[in-house]
Amino acid sequence: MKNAAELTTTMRRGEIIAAVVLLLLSAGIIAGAWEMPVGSAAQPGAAIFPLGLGFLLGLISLGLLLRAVRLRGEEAAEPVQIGHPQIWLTLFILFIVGLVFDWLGYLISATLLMAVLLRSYSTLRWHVVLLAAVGASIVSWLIFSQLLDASLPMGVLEPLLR
Amino acid sequence: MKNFRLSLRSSLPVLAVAAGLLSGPTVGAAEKYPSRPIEIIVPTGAGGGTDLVFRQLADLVGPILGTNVVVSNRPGGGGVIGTIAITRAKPDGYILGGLWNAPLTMTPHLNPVPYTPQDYLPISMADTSPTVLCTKKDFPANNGKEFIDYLKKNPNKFTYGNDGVGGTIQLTMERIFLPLGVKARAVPFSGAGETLKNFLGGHIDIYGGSMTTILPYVKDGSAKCLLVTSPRSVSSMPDAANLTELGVPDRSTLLWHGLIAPKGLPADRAALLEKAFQQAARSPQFREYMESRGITVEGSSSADFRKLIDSEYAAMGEVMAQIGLGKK
Amino acid sequence: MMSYLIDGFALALRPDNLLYCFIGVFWGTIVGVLPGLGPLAGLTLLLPLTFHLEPASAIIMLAGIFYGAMYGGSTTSILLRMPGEAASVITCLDGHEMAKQGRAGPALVVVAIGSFVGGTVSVVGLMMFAPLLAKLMLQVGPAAEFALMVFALLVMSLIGTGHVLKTVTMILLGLVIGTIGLDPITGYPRYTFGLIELSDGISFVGMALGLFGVSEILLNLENIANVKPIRPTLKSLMPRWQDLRDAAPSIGRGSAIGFLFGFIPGISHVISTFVSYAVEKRISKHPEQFGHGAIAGVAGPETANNATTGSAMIPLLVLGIPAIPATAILLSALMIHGLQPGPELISKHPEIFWGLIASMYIGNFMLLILNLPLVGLFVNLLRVPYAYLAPTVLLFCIIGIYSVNTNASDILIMVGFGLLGYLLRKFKFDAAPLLLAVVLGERIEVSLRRALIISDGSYIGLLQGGASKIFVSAVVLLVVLQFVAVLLGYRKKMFSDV
Repeated sequence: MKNAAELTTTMRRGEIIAAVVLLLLSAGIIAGAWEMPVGSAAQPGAAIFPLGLGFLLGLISLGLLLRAVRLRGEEAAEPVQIGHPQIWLTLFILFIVGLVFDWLGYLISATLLMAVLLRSYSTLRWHVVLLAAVGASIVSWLIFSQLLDASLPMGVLEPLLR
Repeated sequence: MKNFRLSLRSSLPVLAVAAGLLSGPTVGAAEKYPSRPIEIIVPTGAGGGTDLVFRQLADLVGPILGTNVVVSNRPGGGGVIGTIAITRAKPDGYILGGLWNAPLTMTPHLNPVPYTPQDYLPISMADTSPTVLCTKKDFPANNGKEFIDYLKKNPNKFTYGNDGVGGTIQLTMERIFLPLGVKARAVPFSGAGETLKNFLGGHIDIYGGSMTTILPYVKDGSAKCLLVTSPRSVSSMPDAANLTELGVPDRSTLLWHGLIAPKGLPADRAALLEKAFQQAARSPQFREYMESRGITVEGSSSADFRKLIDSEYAAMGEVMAQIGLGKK
Repeated sequence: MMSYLIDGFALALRPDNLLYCFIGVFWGTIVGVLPGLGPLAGLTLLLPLTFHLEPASAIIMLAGIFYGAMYGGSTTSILLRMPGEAASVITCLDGHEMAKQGRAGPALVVVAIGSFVGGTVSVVGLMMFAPLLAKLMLQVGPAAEFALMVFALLVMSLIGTGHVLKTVTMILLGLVIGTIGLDPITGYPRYTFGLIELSDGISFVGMALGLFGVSEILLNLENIANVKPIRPTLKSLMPRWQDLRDAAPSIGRGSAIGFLFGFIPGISHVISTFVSYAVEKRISKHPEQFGHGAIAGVAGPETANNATTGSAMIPLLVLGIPAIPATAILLSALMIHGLQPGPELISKHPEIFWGLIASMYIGNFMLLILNLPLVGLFVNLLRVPYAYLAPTVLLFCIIGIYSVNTNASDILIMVGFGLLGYLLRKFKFDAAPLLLAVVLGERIEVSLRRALIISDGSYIGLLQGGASKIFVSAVVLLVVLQFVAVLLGYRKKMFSDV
């Protein structure tokens, strides 16, 4: 099944892209290390290690690039499909939860996450999903925050929970 | 344990709202303090020496204040992350900070941090302890003066372990070395334990760090401590010269633990907290706990604590400038 | 020694101490299973309870948490491909593959048995060789540590499943990620972009849960309709005779590797896992099965990391030095009772040392008895339909990652690395070398720079001291050989040649 949220590429093209990205990254690493203190032989500074790694990574990504360009046959043409609507949705909602976690607090964030994911993955109806999400969020809060003393934010509900 | 406190509370939201309305912000001045648990943010991981000091204090100060006092750990960035959280907290006396030297008086000179000594209110310093320099038993010096003379005669020959470049131990030692003209190579380790291990293995010449860690080796005779960073001598380290004997009594830096609050804390609450923490620090339990490891209990006043922080902050800035550290 | 050991058992078998030992190992299992909690959280939580116990009981209970957590650590790795800590990263590789094939039961059983054997071997080692190993540990200074870490990196390049270039790329990328944060030597901020949240580097648990746990879920989402819950039967719970026969030699080698590598400062439990994995893969008749559910790839590493627990106690008990954060809490617990660990602990307070040794034999046995029935319980988790299991797992990931540093930006890190992990798997790059290189990176750099400060900038000076001479020359030899081997295209034969 093919749909808009999916990207199709080949192993060879993917490796070439990866190698180019890594090459750019190594340039960035070297540029960043350039600003750092070099120190002396007896007091090697902060720059030395990242600088060396940057050059090594650059070399190895050149190697990767060469290998990928020369890649032929079955391995090169192997199709690779990336993405699926639910993958993007999952990443998106996790990202949102990360952003609002401290502000909304654990209970609301967890309810949000569970509701969206359960609704998306399963065929449950909305009211069942909501009930399950609220339940999961409260039960996990009781277990982790109250029983196991893990620190979880109370967020906007703080005045009520204290 | 505090299990299921929530279930009880959340079943009474109506009451909570009602209570909130009754004691609302309009009557702030008259509100009873403390009326709910107080949190001490300790900017280090759980279970370390610093963390334990504040957990002890929290247990002792709770009954005095008549509320629960809990420690929460906020590690990271050598204490900077937790300190930021403290200085940015609401100054209502429900969030305090449990600090030690580095994040307040040292790190700010080394790296940019978004707070200054004016962003917090020192409440009370709980305890202090000097640090020591120690050598193996065959080192050709047997007292503090010989030790310093020998180091002076051999500049940059000996290595001393410490807790990191720009860390408490290095700055404490360089602050003494500078006026005495001593030059030794500082090898940074992650703490006293790692320093001790490398010292015992013979990879460095001199141990620099807390007294507690090296004490067993002084007792069994394999190490001798020749310098203590306080103006007075310490009974468990008879060979160690103090700074008065070395002629630099004003160059002393002690490790300390103390309570701070975000600036803007109402004066009456600050006074209440100051008294309560002084009382807790001077309690026999705390004294016994600290003195068993060679730490002196202080329980200082807020004003004295402020003075110490300010002078240490200035001194550390100078030392760093002189040894070529500091903000780039 | 026998009379001391008998006294120790008398102390450890006292009903109250048996109870404390059980509480410790039970609690350790719980915090070990939950990702993000780990032994450190478990120890801190129970530490205040020990203030009122007698010192021997306190240390028996706390040590139980420490080695108990090592047992539990692999459970989520096997069931959900969620490594809660660096030492269980390797277990994900074959452990979770086994679970997918419906063999989670045998994997968990083998882990329990291996952990028991490894844990027991390490106690025997602690009992017989503690002072000797302590001396060896002291010999390992910064120069020797550097050599050991380089050796570990070389071994790491053997664990990948893909092309060697890809594995090396991942190692380098891991080392680069490891440099993010304040320079551990000078405190200079590197690649932090002015963010204080990055000053301690990127959260390891965030990376691990992202690269493994989240990416696995993303991959499964592609055909969520077809992901069938695994329905384990009683028969499939227990390992087959063949499984045990395959695992037994790996468990033996894992014990030896874990014990021998125990002297490496700080991260022996991590290094021992991938050294064991590499060895198992090298000597296996079917190296191609590794990464696809080879039982030896689970049994060896899990045995090895438990076999380091005894050595981890040596610096604490013999030298009074807490080498890792978990033993720092044990140190605190002893000092609260006025006991100073160090050279005089064993002679002045033999009851502490021998009581602890005896309790560790008993505790390891308790853990075996405790963990075998739990296997049935855990495996049943996989019966939950994936549409419900996946959101719950993601929720646990968030709880775990947040509770480590109380920092919501770590959740974003997990999401980012989840995506990265997904792409890496699509293009057949291994995530494990990347993660392990992050752990090693800082130690490699710091040990080399410390060694250079000590030698005053002289590279020849690095060779001072017996241990560093041996380790450094051995590694130089290995590097040269490996380099030549790569040039000649003989890399695969490399380790059997040396």
